[in-house]
Parts: sequence; C-alpha cells; structure tokens
Amino acid sequence: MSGIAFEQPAGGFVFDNCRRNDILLKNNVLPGKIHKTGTTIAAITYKDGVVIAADSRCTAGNIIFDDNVLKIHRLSDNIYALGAGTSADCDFQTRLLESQLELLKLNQDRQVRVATAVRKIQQHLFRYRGYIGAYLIIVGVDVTGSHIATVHPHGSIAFLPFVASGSGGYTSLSVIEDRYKENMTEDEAKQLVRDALYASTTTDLYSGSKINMFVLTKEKLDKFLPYEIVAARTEKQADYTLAKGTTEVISTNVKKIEFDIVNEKVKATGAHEAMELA
Amino acid sequence: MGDDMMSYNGGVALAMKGKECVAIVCDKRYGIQNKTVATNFTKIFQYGDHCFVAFCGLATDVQTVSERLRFRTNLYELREQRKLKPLVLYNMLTNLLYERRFGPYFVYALVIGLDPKTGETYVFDSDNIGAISDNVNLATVGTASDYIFGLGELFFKPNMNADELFEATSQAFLNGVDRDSASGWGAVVYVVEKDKVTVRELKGRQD
Amino acid sequence: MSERYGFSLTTFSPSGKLVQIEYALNAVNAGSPAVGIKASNGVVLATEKKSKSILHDDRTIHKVEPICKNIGLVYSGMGPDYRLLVQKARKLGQEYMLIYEQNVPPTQLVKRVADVMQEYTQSGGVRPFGVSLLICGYDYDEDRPFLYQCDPSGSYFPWKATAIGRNYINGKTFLEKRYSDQLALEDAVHTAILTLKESFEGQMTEDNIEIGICDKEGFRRLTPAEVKDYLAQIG
Repeated sequence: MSGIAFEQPAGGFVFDNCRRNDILLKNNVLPGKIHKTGTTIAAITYKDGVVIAADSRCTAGNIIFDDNVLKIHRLSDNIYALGAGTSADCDFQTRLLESQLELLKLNQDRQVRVATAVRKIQQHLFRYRGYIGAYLIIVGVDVTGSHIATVHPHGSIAFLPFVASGSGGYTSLSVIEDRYKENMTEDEAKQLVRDALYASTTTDLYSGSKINMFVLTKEKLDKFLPYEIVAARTEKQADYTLAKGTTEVISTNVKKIEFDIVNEKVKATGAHEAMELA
Repeated sequence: MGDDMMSYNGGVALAMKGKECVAIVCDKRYGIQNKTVATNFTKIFQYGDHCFVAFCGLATDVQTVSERLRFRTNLYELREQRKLKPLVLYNMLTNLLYERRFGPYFVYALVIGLDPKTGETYVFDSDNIGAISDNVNLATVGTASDYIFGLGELFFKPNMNADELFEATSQAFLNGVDRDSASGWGAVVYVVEKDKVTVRELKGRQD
Repeated sequence: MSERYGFSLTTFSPSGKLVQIEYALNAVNAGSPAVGIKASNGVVLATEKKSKSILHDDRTIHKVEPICKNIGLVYSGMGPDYRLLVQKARKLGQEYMLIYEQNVPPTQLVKRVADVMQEYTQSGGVRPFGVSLLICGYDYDEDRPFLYQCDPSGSYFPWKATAIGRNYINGKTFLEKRYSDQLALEDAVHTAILTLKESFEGQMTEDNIEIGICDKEGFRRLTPAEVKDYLAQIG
C-alpha cells in the first residue's frame, strides 16, 4: 500500500529535513523546545500483584500545559507502561508496542508476557542508540507472576521489586526505599505509593495536581482516576464573563455548514461479476 | 532575539472550548526576525466542515505542513468516503510530525473540532514532534503563548455559548498579543458551531 | 492451455479468461462450507470443521479467526493460504490503528485484503490464493454491522447473507428463503447452523463446527460450550 504516492506514510522515520536543520543549527539557530514530561512515576509489587501510580501534570518549560494527564499507557490487558522523558517518544513508542503486542496476542492466541513486552521495546530502543528519549516503566502480571521493569532509552533494563522514575523519581524512591517490605497487602502498597507520589508532587516543580493509580493483579484491574487530588486549583473569585460586543470586530463572515451526515450506503453493484467468476 | 527557529517569523494562536461550540484565533503578522514583512498572514487552515488547525512557528514549515496534511486528509476522505473527524485529523497530524522525529518541522499546532452529531468539542495541541495531548479546555501555541495562557485561563469558564466564547477568546488573545512584539497586526477568530462557522476579523495594534 | 500462454501462471487466455483464477475458485468450491449472516444488530460466521480422522486433536486449530477488536474472518478453500491472509489482515488492522487511532472500518479492511489477493493474480512467481473469505465487522462510524465476501480474484461483495464452499448454491437457496431484515443476532446464529446442517453429513457437534459473532461489543469466537447450547436449542 505504500509508495503509491510520496506523501503516503510508509511507516518509520523520515529524515528529509535533517540536512536543512543541521545547517540551521550550525548557524547558531536554536530548534524549538520539545515537550518533556517532567513527571513522577512509581510502581511496586505487593502480595498479589502490582500498584502503579503517576502524577498528572504536563509541562513545557515552566508552563503547566495540562493538569489532568494520564501517564499510564495500556500495552495489553495485563501489561501497562508508565512514561517519562520526551512526551512524543513515550506516546508513540508505547502505541507502537501496544500494537505489536496485540498482533502477537492474536497470532499466538494467548496472553503476552511482560518479559516479551520488555524485550521488544528494549531491542527497539537499542537500535536507536538512545535517541528515542523514552524512560519507561513496564509493569504487568502474566503466567509467571507479577513484574516491574525499567527500560532506559539506550536499551538497558532491570527487573525490580519497586521503582520510581522521572524528575520526581528520586524523591518518591526514597520514600519507597524507606518503607518497602516484601509481601505487603494491597492497602499497605497503595498507601506507600500514595505517600511516595505525595512527596514528589509537593516538592518537584514538574510533577503535580493529581495522583492516578492502577492496581493490577491476575484477576482484576482497579483504576483510581484520581486516587487523590493533591493540589486542586482554587475557584475563581470573580465572574469574568464579557458582555457581547466587547471586542471590536472589523468584519464578520458566517459560513453555513450544509448538514449532511451522510451514512455511506454500500452499493451492491458488481454482484453479477462474482457470479460470472464463480 | 530571533535565534530560536520557533520565533523567527513570529505568530501565535489560541483555541478555546464552549458548549457545542469551539473557537480558534490567530494573529496576522508575518515577519523576518524584527522586520514585519506582511500583515495578512493567517495561520488557521480548514480540514473539513468542523475541523480547523492552527500552525505556529517557521512560516515555510507552516505552509509545508499544512499542505502535506491537506494531501493526507483529502486522500483519506476520498479513499474512505467518510468525513474527517477531529480525532482522526489530530492523529494524522501527530503522525506526520512524529515521522520527522529526527529532523522536525519547526511548527507547533492546535487542532480544534466539533462532532456535529453529539456536539462534542475537541481542542488539542502538539509540539513540533507530535506529542499527543488530551482533549483540553484551552490551548495556545506561538510566540505570545506564555502571556495568552494566563489570560485565557482567566476568561475561560465551562459551557460558554458561542457569543461568550468569542468574547473570551478574543479578549484573552488581543490583550496577550499586545505584549508580544513578534505577533499582532490584527487577528482572525473562527467560532465553529454545529450548523455554521463564524469568521470575524479583529482590530489589533498595528506596530 | 496453449504453450504460448503458459509463460506466466495467470495470463489471459484467448477468450479473455484468467483460468488460474477460475481454478482457484474451484479449490474454494471444493472446500468445506462457510456461512455468514448479517442480522440487525450484528453478524454471524459459521463453518464446518470436520477432521478427517478421529485421531485428530482438533480443539487447538481454528477456522474462525479474530482480526482486530471489531472484525473476524472465516474461509472456504485451502487452510495454509488462509493463515497467510489472516496474518496480513491483522497487520493491516494494526497499521490502520497506528495511523488513525481508530478501529479499522470493515469496508477499509476488506479493500486492503482484496488488494493483497489481487496482487497475487498479477505478480510473478506466485499463484492466486485458493480461498474465499467471509469478513464480518462492525463499523462504529455508521453504527452498523457489515458482511463481505472476498474472492481469489480480489473482487469483494457486501452481503446480507451468503454461503461459500461446498454446496454453496444449496446454502444460498436456503438463506434466500430464511433471511429477513429484522433478524436478530441470536436467530441469525440458529439460521447459520441450520444452513450448515442442510449439507452436513453425520452428527453435528460443538467440535465439528465453529461459530463467530460480531456486534457492537466486538468480534469473538464462540466457545465449544456456547456452540453446544445453540445446538441443543435447535435440537
């Protein structure tokens, strides 16, 4: 399907701007800022499964772009990923991985394993030598138990009982390090992760607003969206509704939209062709 | 100034959501660093009855990306015999931008749309490599976006009607742009409703 | 066929026919029967899955296959050819998902699968697929189900109900009598089983037929237990 026209996306990256951009950079021109998710993401294992949590703040520089972002990405029914680093890389690489895992699940007719997901993304990131800036935590439960793995952009991985990452990761990690023990109950685990996230959302500039949490076991997936609102925005103290006609308008042009929500009807032409061939 | 590619030509846009209506506004300046070259350079492009995209950044890329997206959306509508929906448009755009992850276009984008069946409104933003945003209440990109963001937050309230939305969007935009030297020279506001699109030209400071 | 027209497997014969494609259709028509019926709220696919020997362990292989959330397939003809198409279809479904973040509309998937089948009638070193496909799916934009047939030539047709494979003419005649636009999915499953029964030799059990249903919730293959229930209802 690809290659019919130049503009058709064929998949994979395109490098035709690279030369131009290099020349611009050599002339001391700065490229635009890319969105980074300053973030706190954390995951711990407990007796029956895993608890994962993330804050909900999206920043570009010091500007808070969005206060209600879900940084927990679905990879398959039993595997989820948390992303930190370059926003676009996290978004697209998890999407790509989700798609590959779905294909794998369909083709082998069984649930995919966490190790498979981790290995796939690891090999992919390694090929790009760290240029894809996705710091991922991949968690899941499968036939072999529950797992947490961190994946770094260069392709190094580690399977751990607990982990935290992102700009507020160290703050969270210190809380978890302090109180983590094996075989915690679900309530203990949730409380620990909540406290860890609370510590970082209140100290790290690039983490904030809400704590979103998932609890994943073999039997269930509980979503807490949010688990806790750490810092709610204050109510507006006045009504700033502007009266109609406030703004000076030079010209107005109204374009009516023809209302035609056309339901595509499939025409049954060509049925006789089939008969001929059959 | 002018060392950043994203502010070489100047320009800014703001999008805001109302109840069954959604608005997008951009300025009209086209400059080369500190020199104003043209004052009729709008950055909003229509891709379907209820879908608009604003691009801010390097003017050459604004034009290239808008045309590339036009090619893809036209082909989509022809091939699939169905109207472009805001989410599909947004995904096509972020895909286009992410394809150039390692040699990006210097544009930030805003996508707005409205589903005429349900009245659901959409406002998305993206950075120059296609970072995916949520469906937000308001978003702004471009040289004056930092100033406009605060004002937009002030004037925004949930479930505005089309007139309120127009005033809120315009006032937030005009007052923000006045503090930016790289954008201005008037503005164009599109207010999209189920049955019509109202395009208004605004008077802005001319310097 | 004359030597002069034999340099490629699919070359027009002087009468304007591509005989290889017709032979492929013969392979389809010799295959075990498959039925598809579109109901008002969904689609059902059903097929015979007879094993040649009682020693076969036939619960691990399937003829009805899910392609993506809202689409499923069944075939008549050659099994190995089918597997390849299933794989390609799944990949096409995922590609669409990656570009548009939407479930692929059945019409689009059918077009693309048909393109693959067409390619195999015109390329060098290959032969046409020895299968006809029944593709069912739910279109969320239009909020209605679809049923398509895809032939080795790469042509495709939308149906309300159809049968392919061995005895397909009898099957179609049966469906013409039984079909109504108001049919609900449950009834469609019954009708599909009855259509298969028309030409079924021996006892029909949950192990020698396979059924898939597709509605708003998506496509899924019925478990042997569910099939058993349906068979019991028919009696």
